[in-house]
Amino acid sequence: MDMPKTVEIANGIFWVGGSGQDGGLHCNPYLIIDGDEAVLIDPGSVLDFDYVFENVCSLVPLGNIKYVILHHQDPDFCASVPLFEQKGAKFEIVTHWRTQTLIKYYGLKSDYYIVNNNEFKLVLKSGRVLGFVPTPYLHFAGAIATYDYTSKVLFSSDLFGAFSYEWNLYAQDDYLEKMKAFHEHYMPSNDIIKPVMEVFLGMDISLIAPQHGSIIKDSIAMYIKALRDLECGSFLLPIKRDLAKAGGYKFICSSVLKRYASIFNREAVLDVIEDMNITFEDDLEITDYNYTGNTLWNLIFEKVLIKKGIQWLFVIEPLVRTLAEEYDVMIPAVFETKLKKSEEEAANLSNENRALKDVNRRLESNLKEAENNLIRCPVTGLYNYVFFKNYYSHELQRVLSDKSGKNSGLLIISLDNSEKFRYSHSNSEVEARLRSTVYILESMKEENEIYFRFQNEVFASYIPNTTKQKAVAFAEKIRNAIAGSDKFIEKTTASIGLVCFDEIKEDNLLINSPEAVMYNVAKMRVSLAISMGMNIVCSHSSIDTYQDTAASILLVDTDEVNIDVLKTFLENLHYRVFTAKDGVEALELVEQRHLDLIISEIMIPKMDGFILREKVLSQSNIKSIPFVVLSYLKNEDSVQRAASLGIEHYFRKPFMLSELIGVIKNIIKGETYQ
Amino acid sequence: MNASIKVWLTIAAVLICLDIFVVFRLLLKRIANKIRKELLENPKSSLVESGVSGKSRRSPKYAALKYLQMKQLVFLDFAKKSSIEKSIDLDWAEKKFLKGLKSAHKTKRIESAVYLGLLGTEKARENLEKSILVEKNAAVTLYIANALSDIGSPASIPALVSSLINSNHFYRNKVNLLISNFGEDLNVYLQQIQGDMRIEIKELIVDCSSVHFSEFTKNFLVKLIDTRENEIERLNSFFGSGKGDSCANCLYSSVSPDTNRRICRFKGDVNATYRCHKYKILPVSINSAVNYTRLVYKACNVLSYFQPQELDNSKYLDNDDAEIRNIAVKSLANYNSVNNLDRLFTFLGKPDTSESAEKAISMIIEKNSKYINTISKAFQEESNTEIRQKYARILSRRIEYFIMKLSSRDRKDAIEIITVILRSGRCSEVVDFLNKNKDLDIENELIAIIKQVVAQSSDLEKEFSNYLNERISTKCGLSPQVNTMPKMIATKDKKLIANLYVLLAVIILIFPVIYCIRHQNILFIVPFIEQLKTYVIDFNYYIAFYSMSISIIYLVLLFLSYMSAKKQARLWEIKNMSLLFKTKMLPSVSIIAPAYNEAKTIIESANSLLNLKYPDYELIIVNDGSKDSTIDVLIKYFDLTRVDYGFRSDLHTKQVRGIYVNRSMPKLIVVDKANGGKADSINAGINISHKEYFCCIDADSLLEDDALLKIASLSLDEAVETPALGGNIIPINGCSVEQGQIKNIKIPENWIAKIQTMEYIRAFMSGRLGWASINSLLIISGAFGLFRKERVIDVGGYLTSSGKYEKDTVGEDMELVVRISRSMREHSQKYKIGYAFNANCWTEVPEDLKTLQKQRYRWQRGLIDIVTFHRKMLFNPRYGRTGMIAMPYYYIFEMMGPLVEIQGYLMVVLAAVFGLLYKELALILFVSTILMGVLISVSSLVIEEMDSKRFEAKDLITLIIYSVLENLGPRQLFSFWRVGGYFSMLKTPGGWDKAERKGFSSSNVSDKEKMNEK
Repeated sequence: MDMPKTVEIANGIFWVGGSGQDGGLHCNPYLIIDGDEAVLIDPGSVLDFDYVFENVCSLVPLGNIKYVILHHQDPDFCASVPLFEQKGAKFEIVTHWRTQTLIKYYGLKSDYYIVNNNEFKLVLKSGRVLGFVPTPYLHFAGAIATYDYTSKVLFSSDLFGAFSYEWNLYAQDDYLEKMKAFHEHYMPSNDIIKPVMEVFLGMDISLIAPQHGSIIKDSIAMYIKALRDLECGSFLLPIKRDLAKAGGYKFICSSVLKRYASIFNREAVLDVIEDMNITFEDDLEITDYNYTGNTLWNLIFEKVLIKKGIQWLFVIEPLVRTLAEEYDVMIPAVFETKLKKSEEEAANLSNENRALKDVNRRLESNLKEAENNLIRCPVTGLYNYVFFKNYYSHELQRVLSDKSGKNSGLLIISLDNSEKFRYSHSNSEVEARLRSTVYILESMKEENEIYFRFQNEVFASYIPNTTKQKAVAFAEKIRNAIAGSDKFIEKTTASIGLVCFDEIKEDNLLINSPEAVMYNVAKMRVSLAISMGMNIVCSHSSIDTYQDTAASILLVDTDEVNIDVLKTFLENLHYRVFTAKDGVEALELVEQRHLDLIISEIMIPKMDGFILREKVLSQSNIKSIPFVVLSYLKNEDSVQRAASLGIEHYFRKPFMLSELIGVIKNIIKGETYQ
Repeated sequence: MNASIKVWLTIAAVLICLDIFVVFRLLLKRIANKIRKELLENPKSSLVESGVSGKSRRSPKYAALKYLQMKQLVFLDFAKKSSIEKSIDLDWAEKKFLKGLKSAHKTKRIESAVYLGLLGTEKARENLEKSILVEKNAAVTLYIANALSDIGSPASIPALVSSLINSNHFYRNKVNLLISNFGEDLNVYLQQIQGDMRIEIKELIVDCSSVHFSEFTKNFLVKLIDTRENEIERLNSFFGSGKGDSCANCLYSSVSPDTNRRICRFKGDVNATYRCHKYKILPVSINSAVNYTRLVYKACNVLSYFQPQELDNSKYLDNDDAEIRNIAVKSLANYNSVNNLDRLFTFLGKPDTSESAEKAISMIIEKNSKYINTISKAFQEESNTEIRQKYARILSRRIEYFIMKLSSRDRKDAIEIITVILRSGRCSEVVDFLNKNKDLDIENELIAIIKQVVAQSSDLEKEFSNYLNERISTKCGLSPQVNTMPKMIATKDKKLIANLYVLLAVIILIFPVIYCIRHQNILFIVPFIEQLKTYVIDFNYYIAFYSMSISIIYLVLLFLSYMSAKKQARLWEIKNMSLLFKTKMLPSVSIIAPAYNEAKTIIESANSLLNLKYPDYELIIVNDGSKDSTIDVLIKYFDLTRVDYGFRSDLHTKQVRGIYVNRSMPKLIVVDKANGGKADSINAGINISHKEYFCCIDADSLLEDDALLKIASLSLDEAVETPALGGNIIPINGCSVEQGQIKNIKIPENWIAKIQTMEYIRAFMSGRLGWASINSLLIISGAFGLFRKERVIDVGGYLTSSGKYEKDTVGEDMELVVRISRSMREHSQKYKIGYAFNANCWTEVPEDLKTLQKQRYRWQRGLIDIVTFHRKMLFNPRYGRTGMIAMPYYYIFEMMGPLVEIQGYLMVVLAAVFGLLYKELALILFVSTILMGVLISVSSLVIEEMDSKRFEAKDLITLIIYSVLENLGPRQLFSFWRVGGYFSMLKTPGGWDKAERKGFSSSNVSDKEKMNEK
């Protein structure tokens, strides 16, 4: 090794590690020299002692070392401390009281400087302050990190560390992946790592010096954020996610390749995949492939096994298991056969052990389910209500604080007749229906809409930047797509409630919890839509109670005699009568006027009566206008078609005038009562 | 002045007067009509008034007719009715129509029957009942039957039923359903006559049971099915060998009050057992056994619909007759029972019932989709590959559902089902799905399946590589298949060409020969130049008489046209909508619109054709391998999906590439096929159509919304079969069109198109209508015609190189009509080829001379082709008027005539040059060509105006002017082109000319290739 023995990583701060270790876990002891005082941080294992001792002595006399900081009790940090003591060094051991309780078993003789009792601070003679940040359970209860206020260097202990077979003193581009791998293995959970990272984010850090892996000089915030958002603790509780949403098999296979590349190197990975039928970008992100997803997933590992041997499989196994659990895919066959076999041989598990393992697995799956319910819906992979609530209140705060007048919309989409559906179909059909709905929703996606799934068959969509008009159009698009889809086992429709932020903002600017108001309005509108007869988009809270003194009726026919006769009779009964001679004209009238009834012939120019009815149905605000057919054409086909379009009254010409008038009166009366 | 000039001058003067008279009449009639319309408007509003207010006010006489028309539309309640009836003179109307019912005039009888039906008085009914028994014309009987069923008195039932006896089956089919409307009263009557052995009565009961199903009809149907073998034996012995004949079932006898006696048309009141030997021509005696079996099947179907449990009996499920067995199996889908599905699974395994079982299972899924899983389970458990395919076919209706399953945990089953579905050749839906899908995982799952399937079948490989979009197709490892179409090589028909040369020689030589014979005395004596002069003068006389004879033929036709147009207009007036829309009254129709490079206009046309007034029709657009985006435009606009659509291949056509539909437009079917010309496209459309008739129409033409109704309603006025019916074509060039509807009717601005407008009106109004009235119509324009599908399939469809006769022709429309007439005559079947003068189809005509010339060349070549192809009919008495009059007319005047005319024009010019064109000759030529021509043209306008006031007064005057101008030049030019057509036939028989067209919206002038490219 012709590496320099020590490196000054910041003014007066030296890296004093050895470089000869194997096994991917590289240790980094540091030495701070402050005048005639020196502080040694995590001096390392017994194996490293010779190097480290030599390095330290080359910088300062042994006597100058006044303090040794031990971030936690692992042997690769602390095992060499007794050896330093034996060489005659005199120092205080700076550590957390919990760590102290353990490290004494190394047989240490020095005094302790317990940070808990000293306001988590150590002041050197020169006045230089070293602060200690508690990082509990990362990955020991009493773990801490050290921050040097003078040089703004963070000695992060295990945090920001990494596994690597190709070690560099300073972090390279691929360091992020290595770092994540390490944390996924060692750090217990995102819940625990997140607050600590939030603290780090608030600090002014110029350099992160971790105990394993490489020193981070640049993009410090990026690394901190990556850890803040990392779903770690994969051995404990895998988080289930929707594969399709994450990007499909393409995504998980890319992750594996990237991980390999960071642990070994890119060339080795290329060697593995060179004869596979996939295309990928320079960073090994797969762009297209020509297998079924499952095949690709298996094939990669088969190739790895053939070309690189079982060692490569061992290395990647945790990630693979995590991904498999998270995204609900099968563990590739090679792991189940080769790996398991060698594992079993090595461990020689007893029957008892196996039984125990089973118990564990059951326990795990219970836990897993509990966790799934926390953020995501297990069937659809969409975010759930709990997540929605948090997310939505944040979003609305953002919208509120944004003065640019951006408007956001909220849709609540409820599949109709879901009780009945659940009653008449198996559970797997219900799931299939949910999945198909998500497929449709995803394919409708226009910009940044986010979908959620609430309990039962209720979905929500948050549209970040929209107008009321656009949102209504979007909702109608969804409603029509669902109603027209053939992907469901039976015809399925959805009722949609829609609310836009400006509706409530205009009303009162200082409402306490806008998210609750929005949610409640949307929910109320869904139930309104359902009570209005389902398969409707409801975007107004009050049913328009406007009623003309006389009800308005639209007559659509080309037969002048018919129009004449009916118009005369109806006007005599004090109805307002509009007439149209073709489908296009009729549709325009329906859209513009407030009508109570449409009476139409089927055979009309430009757009026939059925298409007219379909067009009317596709707009929620007019779809509930009663539709009566009055036609010469009345046969089995046409009547069936009419029924399928929800037309209740189908008169054949010649019609009985009294009957038609009676029906008209009843329909209009019914309207007024509503 | 010599005498003959005087005669000619007089004739000319008379003709001029006549021309002027006709023009004046045309203009005056327009004003008269306007007044009449106002007169009619007035009473209408006062009628409605009095109906509403209940006050009666004396109304004019027109009111009675108007009131009766209103009755076709609304049933008024008693109070309103009596208040209106008090205000008008209905007795007058009753008397008038009772008299009309006895008229010798068929149209008048029909008219009277209709109005009496609307009047609905006791007296009217009694008279109608009486006349239905004695009426001999089936068309009139139908109208009377309809009137009686509208009145709806149970007392009419016996008369209606007896009108069925010995009538033809067109009548019986319609009237059976009219009778069915009597409901419970009928049921009682039927029980009385159920023992009647006559097939007409049995048919009636079966038809009625399909409307009013009751205990009685059920038992009757069961008995009918069970005793069918004995009954068929009886029929065979009765009609087959000639034993046991009797008057009881005779065409010419009718029921007498005494059941033991019959009234014979010839012998009067006779004993029921009286025998004369007319029984052999009874309509029911033809194919009696086959017809009876059909009736039994119908009975089975009715039972299967109303009481399917009845057929769930081993007696029917294992019946000897395969059809009955199949109906019984299908009926299992019609009622809910737990194990029906399991039983259908077993029937699926039996070869002869598998198809019905498949249909039945599909129907069950349609009704209750829960069973999909039961079926997919059965599919998993089945080991027989063939049966698995059947399951797969059933499941393929819900293929999207299974595709969605690919992303779930139980994808294994879904993969298996989809694989088998694809293997059985149903891949359109998957292709469509993949082309639209965005989900990469589903895509890869499907591609894996496709790869596997394609490896085993090259057909599927072709299918996928042709229709999957490029990215996916390369991903599947498919290379685009290059379809190398064998280049059509136009073969010269040497025999035909030789014949044409001979004819040409004859026409050129005949006049010199006649000259030689007439003037043999001076032949070698007088100098050549003098002889030439004599020859020229002679020829001028010939040409004058030639044009005279054409004009006279036309005038005769014109007269016939006028009569028949008048009749049609009157009949149309009384054919009210409620009659036309009664069940089975009009035949079902498939409109077939072939399209070649019509991307610009296809949407307009499709919209127009989708919104016609007609009880039962479908629209089939056939894309004939267009080179532009016709098919994509259609798919996009109508949101079509490619489907696997089962169809028959009665006619051989070029390969059909795909069929597209949209479920919310059940009327529309779009067919994509390889290029094969217009005739080939229509043949493909015929294969796909499901209806009784088909209507072929150019995809760049527009139909008026009642055109189909008008053309098809002609079938009601004929007592015989109508295998082909033609409609009217009018140039659309000047009109503006909006969403497939003509907004403004205007004559074209372009003079070439204006001349053609006049020419079309003349040709259709005087020519076709006239020929149709003597049942010798041989041309039905390809742009709009209605054909009985069965007949067309019988004669082998349109003539194409891939069809039965392996021959192509440009005049496929005319050829088909000739072939149908020929076949009907050869099988001595009665038929009528009709022409509806008021059913309008608007089409684009060429606006420049070059295109027009090409079109005329083509027409002439088509004509020559057909006349020579069917020359066997020429002067052959076996082919009746068609062979004796129509064909010779086309041969002499249409095919050879132009050759004579051209010589004639040459001679006229020569005569002028030589100064030989003296007064008499000039006068005769003027009379025979110009004056008569003008007379025919303006008279055609009169007929055209009879139906509706289509053109504005200003346009009408322009047309009158053009009717004169047309005879001075254009007509001669057209003759010239026809000769050109003849000569071009000698050169190259293949290689069609292209006609150029522009889009409807006249502003975008775009040249477009027409159908005829190969």
